[in-house]
Amino acid sequence: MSDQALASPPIAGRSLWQDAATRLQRNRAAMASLIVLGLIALACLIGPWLTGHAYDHAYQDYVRTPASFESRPTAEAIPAAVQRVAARIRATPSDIAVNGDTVRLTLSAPRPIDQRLLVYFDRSDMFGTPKILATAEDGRRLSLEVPVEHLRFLFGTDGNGRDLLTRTLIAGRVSLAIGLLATGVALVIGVVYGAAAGYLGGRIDMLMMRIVDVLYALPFIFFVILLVVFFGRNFVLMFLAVGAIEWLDMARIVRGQTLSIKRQDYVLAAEALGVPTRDILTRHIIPNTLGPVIIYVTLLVPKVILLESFLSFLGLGVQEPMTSWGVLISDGARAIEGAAWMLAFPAAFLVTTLFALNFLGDGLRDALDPRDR
Amino acid sequence: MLPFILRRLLTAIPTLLVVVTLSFFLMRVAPGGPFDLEQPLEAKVMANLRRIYQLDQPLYTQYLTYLGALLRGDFGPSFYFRDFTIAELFRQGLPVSMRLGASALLLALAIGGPLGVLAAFRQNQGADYAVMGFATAGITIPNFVVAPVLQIVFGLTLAWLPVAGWNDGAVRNTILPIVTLALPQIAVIARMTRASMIETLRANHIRTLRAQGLPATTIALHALRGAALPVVSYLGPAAAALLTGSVVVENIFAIPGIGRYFVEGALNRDYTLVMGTVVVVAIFVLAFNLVVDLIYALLDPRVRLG
Repeated sequence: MSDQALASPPIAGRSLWQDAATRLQRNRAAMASLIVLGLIALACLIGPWLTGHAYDHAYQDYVRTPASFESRPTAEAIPAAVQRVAARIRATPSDIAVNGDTVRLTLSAPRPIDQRLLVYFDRSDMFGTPKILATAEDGRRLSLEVPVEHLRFLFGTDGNGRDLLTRTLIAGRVSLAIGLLATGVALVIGVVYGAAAGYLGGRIDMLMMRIVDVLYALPFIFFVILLVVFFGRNFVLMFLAVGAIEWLDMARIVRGQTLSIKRQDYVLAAEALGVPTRDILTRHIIPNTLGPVIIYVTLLVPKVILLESFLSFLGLGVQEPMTSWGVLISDGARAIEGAAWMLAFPAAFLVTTLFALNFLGDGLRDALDPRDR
Repeated sequence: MLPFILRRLLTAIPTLLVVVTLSFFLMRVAPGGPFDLEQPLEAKVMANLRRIYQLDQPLYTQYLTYLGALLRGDFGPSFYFRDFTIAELFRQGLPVSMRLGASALLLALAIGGPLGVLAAFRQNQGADYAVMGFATAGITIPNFVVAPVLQIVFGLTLAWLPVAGWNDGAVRNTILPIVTLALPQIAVIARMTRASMIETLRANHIRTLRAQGLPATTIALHALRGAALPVVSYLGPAAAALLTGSVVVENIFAIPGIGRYFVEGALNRDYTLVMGTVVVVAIFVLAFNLVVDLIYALLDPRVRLG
């Protein structure tokens, strides 16, 4: 034993969590998933303000516009659009010339043109307020300069002409919020219930777990549909209720963990010191069950998101004009023949999120499972 | 073995009773009734209807009447599908759902099991990543996305198979629904088989087999027996769910199964239909759990039935 060994700095201990964090950081799939999830959440949170469209604004001239980077209207589409507007003004357009952001054209009609009708240009989604350059033949010919209003639909539009990008992002807010909300409820109930049953043990445990068994025996979908019947229009309440059903697995997991933890020396020591049951549960038992619980949470969030989209597919979910990924996907599935983008984009968002959550869950399991060390 | 089965069948009765009771009262306290229409019926008509279906009696009388009928195997008439009894609806729909579900289950086992074993033997190699990627996709992509894509690709673009319809159960019509039902199950079975196989391959008896220089297939067969346990216990509830039909698949492919009855029954407050579905599903769940326990005892001699 030399002096050198004594002088060396004390080895800093690493907690389970630090250990797990380093292992998680080494797992590339899990870290990529974490980043992807962060990006999707960020996009859904702030994206809807940046797209330049309102999620519930229907552009009547752009029903089912395919997704593209091009700005609308395209130069080829303008003459036809001018024709449509002119028809409403009851005039025939001619000399249509598109240059940049304006269109010059001449309207002619057998009778003098009512200039108030020019408001139809304004009402169209494609044009601004027209400027009259010249009138001729007692107002039967009008030369107009009409500004073109450019819009961009990166993800296309839906069957009502609403911007799909904005709707997908807004839907993401709803779907993610629902997933987190229901999972949060399940987490709280399941952890408290499971920890209490496991720690108290004996007859109380028996009784509490029999209740869980009975609830297990009821068909889950029956429960969910009953909840829809009860809460109908109030989606938030419904998902609080879904969370209140989903806690069963959580309770079982936590109870199992608790049973083994409560025999550990530090729990016995706490008991011997007279720490109240409540504090033993919150200070010693629950924090030590969190490993499996976190893994289960990352798998429960996608489960709830899928459940929501399943309900929306059945028409029992979020109501118009609000939307969720499930609603968009079921709309898209119905329109898949002519408008595949309506399915592709929301489905891509949903599947990417679920993929990322699953990879993250797997990564956490590997990171927290001490057997694989 | 026989006493065990008998005892399990006996304990199934109270469970069924609890399920029936809970769902009966839950269904009845739900707002609305089976005869609520957009335009309310005349009070007299409503009163007559309620009397015919005995809805005017106190709830506990209705409950006892229903239980009595159920004991005699009588599920009662449907409120929504007039002219049909629940038994008739199930006689038509259950074989359809069961055929699709059983085929999907067999397909899932035949593909998912070998995939999982392959992935376990090639852990952390290309084949493993491929299988696990496929499995994650199978779990995450909802069936109502898979189904329309299959319809477009195989029904319209390639025009190999009919887009939808039952056509009295022609094999061509069942392929797409079966594949849709099987895909997520393949994924889950592959994942579970892989995980438990990896664990079993580390066991001592497998190491002994390896030391003896036996071929990989022999080792796989030995390991499979132990590795099958968690998969079997997953298969019980999964089989019950598959055989009793899927509302999404039956909706999309226009299949006359019983999967849709839960949703339709609950939304239309068809009390007897919902109760019938609950009972049928519960019986399937209990039966398959029993089967699972029996298979467990066969696979693992340490498990004692009792």
